[in-house]
Amino acid sequence: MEIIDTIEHELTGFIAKRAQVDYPLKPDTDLLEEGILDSLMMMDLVAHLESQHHVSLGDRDLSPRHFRTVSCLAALVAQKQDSLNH
Amino acid sequence: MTLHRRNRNDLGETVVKWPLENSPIPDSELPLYNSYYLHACRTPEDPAMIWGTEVEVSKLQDYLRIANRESSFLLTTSHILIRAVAKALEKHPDFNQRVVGKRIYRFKAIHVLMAMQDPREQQAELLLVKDANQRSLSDIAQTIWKHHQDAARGNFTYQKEKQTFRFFPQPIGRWILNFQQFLSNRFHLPETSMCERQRCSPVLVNYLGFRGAPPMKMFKASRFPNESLMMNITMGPSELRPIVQNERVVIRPVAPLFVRADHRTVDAYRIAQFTETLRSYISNPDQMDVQTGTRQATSNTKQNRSEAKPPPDARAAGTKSNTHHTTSSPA
Repeated sequence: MEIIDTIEHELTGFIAKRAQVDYPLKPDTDLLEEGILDSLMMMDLVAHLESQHHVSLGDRDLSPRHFRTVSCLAALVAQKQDSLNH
Repeated sequence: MTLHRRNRNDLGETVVKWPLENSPIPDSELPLYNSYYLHACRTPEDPAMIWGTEVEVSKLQDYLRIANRESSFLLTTSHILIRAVAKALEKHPDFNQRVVGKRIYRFKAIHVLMAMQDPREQQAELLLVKDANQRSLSDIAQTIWKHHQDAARGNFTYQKEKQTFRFFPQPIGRWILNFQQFLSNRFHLPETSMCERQRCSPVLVNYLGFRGAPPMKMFKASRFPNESLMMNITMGPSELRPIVQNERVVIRPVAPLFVRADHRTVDAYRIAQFTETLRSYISNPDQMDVQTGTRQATSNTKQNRSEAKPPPDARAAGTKSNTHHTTSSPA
């Protein structure tokens, strides 16, 4: 759980900074409903996840299921990292 | 140089594809004032016409909200916009054509060019969505996200093209660009992978509703030097506005929509009809048969091209529809 919390914290900071949200972004904030996740943000996020978290995202990973909240994203990253380590 | 790289069939043989129909539309079929602009218009004169309108997008937002609960790919307004433009072109084939020299040719298929932004380099990138009218919304989304993903890894097409031009000394690179435009604007040429994006679509679609964009009241899209992009469609960010519905003032999300077309090929009356079709598709995406248009397109290009070909009497019939509208649930 600690790993996921760390990833969540880092991703929350990254998204809040990029999206310039003027309210505290929580890990369970719906990024779609809030209009935070657009194509530019997606590109930034994919580049960020691949360079900073060393995971490679496939076509199927770009689904609303994974990108809806920071928690979902963190779980995806943790799962990818876990599968890389084993 | 990757001139023919993508134009190979399964056996690896080079196949020359021609994006336009073999012969131009006869002058006798062209309305008088389109001919006037076509033959008399020189560069300083501007045959562009812009129709600006607004679209109520609450149904679109609901549609995306529901679709994204089930969809394998994240669906956004820009994906709906691309599909709406393609379906509107299918319904109004008079807009799926371009000027070559002083003649007008129809495109064989409905391809839509989409502008996107490389946020790191602050440069624009163009993505050609082929046979967009034949594809499902999730298929369009998949294509675009794949391109975004490549782009996020630094594989922008414009970067590759820049590298190609930088291979030559600057004056020669500039001359090649000019010569390419000269050829493309005056001659009916086959597709090549390098220039297909600029030459194989009649329309450039801009979705400028990104986060942080100010409210848009007016937007004039520039005219690309290439004569193929006869039209530009720009949708801006939505904002909550008071509108009148059933004689009551209600607050609804409304987005601006601008259609720029060329008087050499269409007139204001037809732009109005096209804009209204597009507006109705965007404001009510259920109208588009989003689930029926699965990707038969690229597997059988020839068939699709004949399907995309407007009926012979389409011009005479103005904007006669060749599309059946079915109501379906989100893809």
